[in-house]
Amino acid sequence: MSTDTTTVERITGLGAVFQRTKYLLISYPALILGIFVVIPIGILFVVSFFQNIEGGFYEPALTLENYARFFGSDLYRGRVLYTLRLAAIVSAITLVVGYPIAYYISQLSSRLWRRIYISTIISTLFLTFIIRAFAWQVLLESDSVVPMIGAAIGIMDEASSLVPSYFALVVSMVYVFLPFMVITLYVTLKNIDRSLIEASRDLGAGPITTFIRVTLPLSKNGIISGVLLVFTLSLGIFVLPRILANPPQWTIAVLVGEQVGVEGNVPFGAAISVVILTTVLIMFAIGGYLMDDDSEVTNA
Amino acid sequence: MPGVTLEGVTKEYPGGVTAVDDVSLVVDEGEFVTLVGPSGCGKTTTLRTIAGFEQATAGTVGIAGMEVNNTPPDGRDTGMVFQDFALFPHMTVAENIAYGLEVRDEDDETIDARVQEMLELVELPETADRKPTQLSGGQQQRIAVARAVAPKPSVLLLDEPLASLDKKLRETMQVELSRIQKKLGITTLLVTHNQKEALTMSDRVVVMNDGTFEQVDTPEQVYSNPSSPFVADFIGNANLFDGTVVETTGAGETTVNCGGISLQAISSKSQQPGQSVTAVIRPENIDLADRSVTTDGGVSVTTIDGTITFTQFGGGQTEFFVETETGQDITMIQQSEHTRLKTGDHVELQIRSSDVLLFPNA
Repeated sequence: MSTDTTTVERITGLGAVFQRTKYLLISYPALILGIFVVIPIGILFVVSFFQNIEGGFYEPALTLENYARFFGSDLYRGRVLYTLRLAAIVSAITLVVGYPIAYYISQLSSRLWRRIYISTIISTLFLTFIIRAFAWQVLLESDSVVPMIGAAIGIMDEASSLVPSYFALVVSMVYVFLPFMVITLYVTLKNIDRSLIEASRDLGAGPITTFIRVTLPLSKNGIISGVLLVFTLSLGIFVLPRILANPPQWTIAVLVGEQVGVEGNVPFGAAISVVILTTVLIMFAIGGYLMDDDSEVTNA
Repeated sequence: MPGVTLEGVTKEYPGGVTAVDDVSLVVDEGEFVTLVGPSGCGKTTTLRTIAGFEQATAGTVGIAGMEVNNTPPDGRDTGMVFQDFALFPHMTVAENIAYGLEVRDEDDETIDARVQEMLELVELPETADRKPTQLSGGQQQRIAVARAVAPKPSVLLLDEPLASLDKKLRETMQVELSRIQKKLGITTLLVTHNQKEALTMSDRVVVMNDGTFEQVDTPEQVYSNPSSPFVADFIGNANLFDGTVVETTGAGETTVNCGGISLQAISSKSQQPGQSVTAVIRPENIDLADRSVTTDGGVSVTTIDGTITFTQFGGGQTEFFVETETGQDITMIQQSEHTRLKTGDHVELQIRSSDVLLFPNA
């Protein structure tokens, strides 16, 4: 033991530099997390208790006024509930639409085709939200493709404009978030050992029973991850409601934007953000609880 | 009633690769047959064709007397144990075993009783509520067997089930698998690349090479009477020499010139002088000249001089690598306790003509 301490004391010069570099390397993840996550969110949290001053200013304080305003108002509370419901609907639709796509791609035996499909899906993310929002606006206008098809096959009386509307908002959000769902599910489904499916078939289960009793339960973690991802992204949606929906259909993020950008009320915007953030954290806690232990699923 | 029948089964993959080439076999009910061969010989493909995971491009597959060519895997009466065991990770051990019974809509009481019975069969009743990851490799193996046989299939298919276990455990499980197979009396097909497994466990051995069946016979026959140099070399150890027939006598006594060694052999088939042959000699059939070699009537002995170049101590037996005066390498196995030979020693080897197997070269 005593030799240890003397060794440490003797390290000088270049050795000492390496000694310190070691701690720098070890602390790298903590440093990055601290600078880019903990500190900004800490500031957000602190600012949410500040006092707003008319005209776009605020001063340090410890007031619950911002939270009182939020929870005391039907408008803001209602917006949050509306946004949560919208996020839930969009998550559910992307899951239902995305699962078969992810499943299909994961079952392809050709590596080339799997790559082509996945690249195509990811490539839709190359375009910015704004361009994709305007693209949907064009597609949903009265004399455009979607209403005309709708009228032709009889689900619409006439080719009237579908934008701006709640429908347009949901459709565009599903379109924008679908790649995230598909990629997440694809990774999970691809990792399911083929011999498990074969074992099920060999034990006498048909393809449908095998899917319900083996594939689906084993893709549970992917489903939870995909839903959490799309749900969280949906809560923060800002551009799409502004372009494709009417003000009553605007999400809470749009209202935060208005509070900060137009009204200049930063503390109130921060307070709303803290509420949303807390909701997301609760969602993640529930999701994490529902997930299977990863090592249990993959190592068997 | 035969357990499994293969009639001219061929499996050709798109792109022209023939994995299995026109093989036929009848496995009797209750019989334990092992498909053995080097990797890529088509043994696993043959097994998967029986299970229904691969479709035969030609020929007929029959299980328990029924043709099953167009039956999907879930309609075939087979139970398979996979190389990686393929236990369902999201189910407990008991749920895994119950799976095959549940999908057959058995009632709960029957299932519970059968699961218990299977757990006792594999001697692991205490593991019922554990997840597969909480089991050791050997335990996972036993549960995989229990799950496969729980629905009482007419055929048990084992796809290299012992390959992922360490040597000691593998030997224990060989005995264990044989015990379970005998107890259930179930028709069993085992695929392995381990020739020792094939010899110790099976009633009959199928030696596969390049998509075809080289030899189908009892372990004893495959070992002592191989049908080709390939079988002789793959099952057990063998010295292979290329040579030319010099002369034959009436009693099948044949003299073969193998690169300078004049080897005496007894050939059941009559060989013409000048015929190119492969001579096969088991290392354990080579003796040292200092011990008296018993010769029965009509058996002659070839004596070869050589020098030991390398010895490999293997416990009870020691393997000696000998270089002959004519420059060939011969492997000899002796009981360790009987020899004190070491590298560099000069030896005189003796080979009985009845221990030399001759195969004409094509």
